[in-house]
Amino acid sequence: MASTNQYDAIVIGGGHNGLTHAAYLARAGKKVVVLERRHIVGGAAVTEEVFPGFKFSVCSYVVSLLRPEIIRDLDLPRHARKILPLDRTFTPMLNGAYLWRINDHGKSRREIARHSKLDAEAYEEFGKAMQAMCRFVKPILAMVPPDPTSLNPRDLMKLLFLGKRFQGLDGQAKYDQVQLMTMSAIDFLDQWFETDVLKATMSASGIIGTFLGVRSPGTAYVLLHHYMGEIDGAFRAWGFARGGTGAISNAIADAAREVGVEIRCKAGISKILVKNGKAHGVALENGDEIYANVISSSVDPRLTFTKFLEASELPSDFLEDVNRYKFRGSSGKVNLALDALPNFKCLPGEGLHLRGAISISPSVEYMERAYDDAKYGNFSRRPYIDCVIPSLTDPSLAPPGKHVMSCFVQYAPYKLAPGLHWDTEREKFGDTVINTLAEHAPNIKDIILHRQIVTPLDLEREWGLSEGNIFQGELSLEQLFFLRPVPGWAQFRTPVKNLYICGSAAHPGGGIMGAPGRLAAVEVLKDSPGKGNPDKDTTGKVA
Amino acid sequence: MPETRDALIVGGGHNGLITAFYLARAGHKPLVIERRPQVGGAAITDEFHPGFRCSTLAHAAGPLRVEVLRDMNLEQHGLKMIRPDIGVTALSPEGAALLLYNDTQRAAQEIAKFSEKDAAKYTELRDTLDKLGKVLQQALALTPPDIDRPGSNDLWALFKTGKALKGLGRKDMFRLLRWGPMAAADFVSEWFETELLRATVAGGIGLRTTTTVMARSVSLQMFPARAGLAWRALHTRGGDLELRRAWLGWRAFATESEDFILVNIPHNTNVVKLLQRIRDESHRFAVSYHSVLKVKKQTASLLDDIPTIGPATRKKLIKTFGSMRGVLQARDWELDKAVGDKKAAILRQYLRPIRKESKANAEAGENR
Repeated sequence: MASTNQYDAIVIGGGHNGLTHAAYLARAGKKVVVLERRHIVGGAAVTEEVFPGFKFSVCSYVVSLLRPEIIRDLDLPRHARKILPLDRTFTPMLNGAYLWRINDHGKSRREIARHSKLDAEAYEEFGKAMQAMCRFVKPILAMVPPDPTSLNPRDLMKLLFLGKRFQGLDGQAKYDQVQLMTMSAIDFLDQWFETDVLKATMSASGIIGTFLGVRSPGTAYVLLHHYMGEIDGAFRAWGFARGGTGAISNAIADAAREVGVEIRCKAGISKILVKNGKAHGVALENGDEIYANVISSSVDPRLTFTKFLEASELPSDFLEDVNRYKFRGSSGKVNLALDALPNFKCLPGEGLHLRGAISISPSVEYMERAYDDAKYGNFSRRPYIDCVIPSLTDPSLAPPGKHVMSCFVQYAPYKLAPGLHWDTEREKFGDTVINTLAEHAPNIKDIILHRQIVTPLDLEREWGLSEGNIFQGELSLEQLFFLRPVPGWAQFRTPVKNLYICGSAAHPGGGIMGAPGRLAAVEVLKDSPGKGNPDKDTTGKVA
Repeated sequence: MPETRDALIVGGGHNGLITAFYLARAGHKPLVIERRPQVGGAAITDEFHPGFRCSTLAHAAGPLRVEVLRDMNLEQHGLKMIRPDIGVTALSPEGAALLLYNDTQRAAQEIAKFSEKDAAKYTELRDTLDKLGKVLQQALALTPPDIDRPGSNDLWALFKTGKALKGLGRKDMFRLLRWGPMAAADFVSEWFETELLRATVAGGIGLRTTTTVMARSVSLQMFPARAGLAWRALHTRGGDLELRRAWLGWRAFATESEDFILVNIPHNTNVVKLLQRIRDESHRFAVSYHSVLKVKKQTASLLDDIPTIGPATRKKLIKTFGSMRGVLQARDWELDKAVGDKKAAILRQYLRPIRKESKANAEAGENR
């Protein structure tokens, strides 16, 4: 039996990052096992048939950030990964008007010009400025963060590289970049636009997954983070995966299996085994023990360091930093099985507008008020909702003629006010979301066949996302780049030897990006070289 | 009369005055232009009622840069900084009071009444800030570098700051990086467990959503000025996150010199009550007199200021033309007829600029 329980590397957690990480290690000739607590792989990037015939991308519902080098290296298109473009954002307003942005440049311009001619002009400039910014930030996503306090030539070179890139930006872009790093989403957008509903809708990407409001400083950066979507080389593109988000995880899992990764589901671990400050294996919940020289954890730091490890095995400074790492989940999901399509008051009928994202963000004040509720421990009475109806583009997700609608809802704070508990608030939360939708599409209440409500508490219990944070920790500036997850430990190593982190809690953060998994593999292979390092495989990227 | 100067400084606030000083010292002949009757901008002291002087706007003086104090020799011009023992008194609705002494040890003693743990943390925070402050104040003394096209001076300054940063050591350097973008509420929650202390310290740096620690602290220059100099009074309050309350008489820029005297009077004595009565009475007087002045102003008419037009003529004009607007729109012969040729001529002379302005306003209104 000993032989089957001895591996070169163990990956804890079978989400997209864990799988990506495993695939890279196996490609370098390692014998790798992925341990997943749930019955299916994918983590939060998962599609499940919750009600017969209806397939929900339960948590994560759109794709865009998946790194192109991963798609190339793992040859994902061969594993049936197909992305269907999602290119419209439709924002209904209560006064009967609407804003409908389309990726077609001319159409978007005409639509915005209906609201403001100045904004239509600015929109184009804004797009250009953001692209310049993205080009600046993108390489950072593909880079192991340098340690700014170290004098190691490798780190210094990287800092110099960043400095040079910054130098390369043209004048205005530099100031934009500095502003983006520090401002609030609304302050930043205010400099460009005057139409309230346009600003409200655009600012929404600045708050996703954070416990911040659209007027909180630091949200402008999150805006950029979401602007970086890239599919097949096209900037700022978001899409659905055919077969739901889970199809991506399955494709990565297939690619991993092909290079020899073993994936075990229903294999939750209870402990990371440490001897003399070195990790050498894990103990499963069922009592089995598995051994390896490399343990990579794709679960969040709270689980990795406080649940799976003893406090005595970690330096107290480090533990203190882990404890103050902010999760503060702020969002939930409501997935609906529909008998027909919703009919919006401001634009009736089954138009193309239903095929894109439908954003309930009618005004900046609406967005800020939604946050006000959350600050004091209530879910928003009128939340920001981002809906998609993927069954319109991918009929395989629902029975013929029926639809699934996926609603991302913010704010739903993990920590509710005293006296409230998510188990008793769950249905009320669902009602609030449906009532909010009904204000815009009154027929919604009559067409709901089933509903699934995912609260932050559910995300923690079922998907192991501490405090229900979808990014395994807030994407705020003090937790990014060389500060993620903990200052001084951004290079995927941990104070325990042979233990690595490779999940969204590591640089560069959440989203179905895969970058943490890949970059962590680069570092693991530096420490214990295998046959080939992905570092050298990708052309022109700094790793 | 045209006059030639080699530098004009618009606005006579403290920054304008200091700029002028340095220019003059370098041999230029600057002129400071101030719209108000007194210099000082927002840093002024008014005698709003005989015998009562109040720092009308800014009522605590931040750490004025040490070089400025030295170069301008402000002490000899009568500037005296007073630093009270207690930086802040925070009151809780439950009746407890937290006295944050400027002296770290005494502050820690007071905090210990609420939480021993917080007292220790407070000392640690102040020590850290003292250390970071020394580095930051170096940065504050720089002209902000041009990030677009840094010159060799900018680069040298950046290099020096970078070197000083390196000297901080790994832990403090990461602290500096991490604290910068943090929200004040998160920052204080990390350090302290006592709500009152959290609120007091956070109050100094701004609220959760509006300001981050670094933005605010840099703008307030919260970090201690160069340690060890005599200007301890200019140090920040409690070494923590707001200004130390030091009252600054801005008359220092004028020549007169007058010292403040700080007297400690135990509260709940009759002396304090008497002082409170006096204060309240003076407030009442000041407020009601102010409103008398205001009422007068509200009923004033543009016609008041025109010589030869008395109350009778004014009444006649308003009666004939309905309103001031009517007067403005009246034709020349109508005015002649109403008040007579002579008075109408004077009236027209005064009305001309007002007419012009009103026309411009009307046009602007249409365009809007």
